[in-house]
Amino acid sequence: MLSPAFGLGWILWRQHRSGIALVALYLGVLTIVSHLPPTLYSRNAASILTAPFGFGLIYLMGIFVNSDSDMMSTRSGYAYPLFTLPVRTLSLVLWPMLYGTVTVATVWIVFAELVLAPTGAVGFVWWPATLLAALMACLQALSWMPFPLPNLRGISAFFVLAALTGFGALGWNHGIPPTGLAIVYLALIPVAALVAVRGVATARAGENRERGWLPEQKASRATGDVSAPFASVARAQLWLEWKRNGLLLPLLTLLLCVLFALPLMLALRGGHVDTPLGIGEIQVHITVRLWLITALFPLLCALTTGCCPHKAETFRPDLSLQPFLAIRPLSSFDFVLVKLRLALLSTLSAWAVWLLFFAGWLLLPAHTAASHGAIGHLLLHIMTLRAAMVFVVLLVLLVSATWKSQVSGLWVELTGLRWLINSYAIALPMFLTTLIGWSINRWTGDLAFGAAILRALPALAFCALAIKAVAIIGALYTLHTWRLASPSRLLGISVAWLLIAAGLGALLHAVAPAGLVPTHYIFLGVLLSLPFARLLMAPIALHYNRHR
Amino acid sequence: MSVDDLHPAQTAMDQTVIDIDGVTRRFGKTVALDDVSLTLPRGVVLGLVGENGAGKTTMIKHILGLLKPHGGTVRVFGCDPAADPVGVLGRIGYLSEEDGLPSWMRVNELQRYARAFYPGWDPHYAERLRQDFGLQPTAQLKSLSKGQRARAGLMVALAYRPDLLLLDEPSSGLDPIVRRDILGAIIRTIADEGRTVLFSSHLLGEVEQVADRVAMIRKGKIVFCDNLDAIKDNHIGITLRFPEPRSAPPLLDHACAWTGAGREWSAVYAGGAVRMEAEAAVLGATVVERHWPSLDEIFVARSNAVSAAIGEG
Repeated sequence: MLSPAFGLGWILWRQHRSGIALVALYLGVLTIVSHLPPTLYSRNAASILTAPFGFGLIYLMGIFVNSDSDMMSTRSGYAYPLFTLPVRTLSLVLWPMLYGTVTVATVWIVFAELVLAPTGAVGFVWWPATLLAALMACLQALSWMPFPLPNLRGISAFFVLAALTGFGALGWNHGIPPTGLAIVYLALIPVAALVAVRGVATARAGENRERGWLPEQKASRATGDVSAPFASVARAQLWLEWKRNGLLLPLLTLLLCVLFALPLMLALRGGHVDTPLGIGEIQVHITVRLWLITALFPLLCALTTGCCPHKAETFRPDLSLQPFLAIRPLSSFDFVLVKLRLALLSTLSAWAVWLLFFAGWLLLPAHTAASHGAIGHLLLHIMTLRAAMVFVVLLVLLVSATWKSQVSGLWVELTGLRWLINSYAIALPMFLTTLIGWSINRWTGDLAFGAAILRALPALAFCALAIKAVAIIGALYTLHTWRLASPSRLLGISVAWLLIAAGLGALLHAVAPAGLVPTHYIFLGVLLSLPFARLLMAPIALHYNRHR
Repeated sequence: MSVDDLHPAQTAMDQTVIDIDGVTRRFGKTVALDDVSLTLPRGVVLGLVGENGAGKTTMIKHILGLLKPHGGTVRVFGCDPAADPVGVLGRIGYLSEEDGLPSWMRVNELQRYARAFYPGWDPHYAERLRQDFGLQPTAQLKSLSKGQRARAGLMVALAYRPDLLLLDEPSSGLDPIVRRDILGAIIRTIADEGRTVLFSSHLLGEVEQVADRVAMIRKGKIVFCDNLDAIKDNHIGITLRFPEPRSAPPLLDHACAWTGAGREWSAVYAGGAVRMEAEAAVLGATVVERHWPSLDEIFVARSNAVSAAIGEG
């Protein structure tokens, strides 16, 4: 007979073996690349390859949390079917916790020793590993214990994670020895385990008592008046989509900001404010400059979330459109339009979260040759109208890219075909990462290659535009012949897309330094990067999924 | 233009709610529906019976447009439900065994959400149904029992008084009180003139209570489809006595599910009383007992007959 330890481990492995293998493969590639001599592979390319590591860690944490409910729910997120196993609650909790903490700590140690150390970054091995193990255990405890109040889990998670990472950053900043930090984090793991065992035991016995934040009568009024209908079908569907998927991106952004942006803001060890910010003559601490990388968080999160109706239930592999939605008298085209609006709302919320942290960053200390003060204060003194415009355009581009990342995979995800979705989700990032890494490597190693690429770029871009035009025409034709949208609607959407492209091109043209990029290349770039063919294919994919 | 002015074929078309013609559907090598044809006129209650995996849900999904036939055509209200989902689905109320309702929703949120999709939504009727079913407006669906969730689904399916009510094994696994609510809903729907109901069920007693017509499906084929009274009239439970003991069941056309031994053998005969007596006389047997079988007996007998035929084939 197999032991509970083996069985519980096997369940996790069986469900996520492809993803775990991919992370292992990725770590292997990173290790090999880091040990190549600089003549073969540049450090710049290597640093680009390490960018997805944080997502790999979050993915692994997600596997071992194995939650069947969202962070705002009151019920225990522990995989409910496992409650029926003839296994003690202690085993149900301790084995997955042990697997999770050991895995994330080991992955970090491997990363620090084999990938970071060769680049010269030493001293970040053991205490960050224990920090990750403590984070893992606390996340498991928070996800598995039932909460008496809705949303309390999410709020608790925010404060616990902020406290853990903040303690590490401040401790490092104030010279607490790494061993001391590691001991504190290791001591937290048994506490998290005790809380988790208690919580899972309560959930397993069905003893959780759910309460409301408000008394029953007030709650009744707060949860919606049935006499006030939605203004339209689209508004009703948007409400449903937001409740199901809308919060994922802002929450993930918040999680990343708490885990990485907050510690970077607090970790000003040594207080040396001597690194150029890159704007005017402002000098800042190196971590303050490094912080600007966090502007990519919403975009990177959007690459992983999308806005499809993923099923949260671990034991339901079926991705076909649920009958509850499929039987609603709403066209597939309108379903997709609602998803595009949802992606916009979700994107704006995520960026609002980042901007809150950005406001905190503006208060960090900096100096110029003439004065000292907060970064924001010094920036105001040197800010010109053109610089402000560049900042706004950059922000618009990042927000647009985040929205695009959410919606550009719809045409695959809405098919409901698991093999296609998984292939797209795994093969595309691997292909792009490899292509970018290879190109940078060749470029930095062989300048003639770079020049050849630059010369061929216009021709390649025009070819890509021609392919895109064919795809757009094909999609429009299919939408028309399948009667998924009326000709006037298709015409209106096409005109709107062209107007947006023209507006964005004009904006970029206005802020781009004169003579840097020819105008027609700017518009070519905009036409290529604005999604249209894939968006038009999304209703076709949904139509297939809905009427198989 | 009055109804009398219409062409007879046109009138018939308007009266037909569901028209399934020669539909075939495969899942891999499995034939889920095999050249199935079925017509359901307006105002009729059709009970669809069959074993698990017979093809009932597949047929209902074709009517909803959630599946496209590999062969044949499906027309609902004269339209292809896959090509015109908005036009067709807006007139159908649907409840299935697996409700699939979002567990995080509250009952009043479910009402508010569903109301947006159906112009015919009657808020007063919806509220009355909610009260009749004993559903608390602020209760989350995940906190409801299976029966309560079925009631919530039924409330949403009925509140806009759909022209066609599709119920896919709605009573499965539910207690008698909830089953009574569902039957009551069907009866109320029938009371609304011109509304049509198609429901599949294992509980043949329920089918007998409310169905005008019964269709039996087995291994993707329609075994029979007729008015309930005609089906009952046509089937007779018989016991034959033979002059000599027999080691095997007698060969009698239209008789199925033979049981017995020696001189006395019982079966369900599906060819009418007169014909049965004539055939029995040819075999030299005497009819010693006859009764009107329940739909349950007919279902079991016809299922066994099809199994035997498939086994021999």
